Amino acid sequence: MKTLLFGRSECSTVVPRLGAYVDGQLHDSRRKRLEAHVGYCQSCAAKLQRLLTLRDHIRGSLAVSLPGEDAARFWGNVERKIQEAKAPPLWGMDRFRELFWFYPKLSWASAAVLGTTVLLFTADMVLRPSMPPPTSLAPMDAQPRTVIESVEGGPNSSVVLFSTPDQQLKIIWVLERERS
Amino acid sequence: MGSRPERETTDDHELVLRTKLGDRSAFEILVSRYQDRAYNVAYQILRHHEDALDVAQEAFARAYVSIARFQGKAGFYTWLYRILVNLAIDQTRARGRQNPVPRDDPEREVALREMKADPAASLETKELRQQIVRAVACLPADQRAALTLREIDGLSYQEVARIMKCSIGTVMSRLYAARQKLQQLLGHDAKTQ
Repeated sequence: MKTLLFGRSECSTVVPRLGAYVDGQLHDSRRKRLEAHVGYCQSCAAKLQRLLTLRDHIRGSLAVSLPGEDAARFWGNVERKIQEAKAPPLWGMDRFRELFWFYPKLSWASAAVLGTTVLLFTADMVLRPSMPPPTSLAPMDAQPRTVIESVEGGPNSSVVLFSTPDQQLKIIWVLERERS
Repeated sequence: MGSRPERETTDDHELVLRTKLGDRSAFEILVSRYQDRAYNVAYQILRHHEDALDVAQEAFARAYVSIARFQGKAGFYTWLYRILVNLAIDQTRARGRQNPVPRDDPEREVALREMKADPAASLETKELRQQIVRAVACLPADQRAALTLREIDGLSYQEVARIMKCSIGTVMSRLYAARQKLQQLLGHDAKTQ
């Protein structure tokens, strides 16, 4: 009667917990409730029995042991791999992957930095005011002019005075003859 | 290499400390202690002898190289299994071997031994074993890993969760799904035998 009245809702709670019960991972209160339910619910009792049988079959069927000769060579191969691993290429792909693998927080931090950079870059591109159109090149006559103000020649040297009136700049060239 | 009593009595924590100090023979003891179990876990995930052997050895090598990072909050084998399971699942994914066909497997040796001992009874057992092996091979790699760690290694849900880097709830749901699928695949044979 109890099964008929409460069985359906109770069964739906009990069935997902049968695995944990078989594995001995249920807390006391839940375990006791489940045991009480299985005591009167034949359907759940049958499911529990099937689960126990399956567990025994799995344990009996899946366990394999390392074949003898492989067991004997095992340590030697591990040592060889240790030697290989100790001299990895600098910042090779594996090293990089290992770094993130051992430090998962680093992965999140890198992802956050990358995301922020992309966001800022995109925002900058979208929000930046449009640049004024480039001005045309200055005309040729706008370039600074150079005027030769004076040229004075002596027996051994010459002096040339240049000036650029636009920029208030004067240049003096002294050309001296080599004495032999 | 350590003497026989040392191999059997020294606890993992001390061996890890000695390994950190550069004593490679201490690590060799750890390897000999867990190589069988490590191979078993790798084999259940990969279903291939050579690959499982390679992944198990690689996991030990990586554990040795990065032993300085092991803080000892969890057991050594939990840490080792985490490396191992990740490597094995990565390899399964990389090679797209979600539903492999078992080949050159050590299970054959077990079956042959039983066949010699009691030929009639072993036929039934062998058939059932093959069914179970085939059914387990059909499970996704993460369910296979959870099932192996729980059923073969007898680890708690908390340990399995730590190794697989997931919550206890996820472990429970993976085990539940795996068992449901196995029951479906095995049909009445496994239920009644």
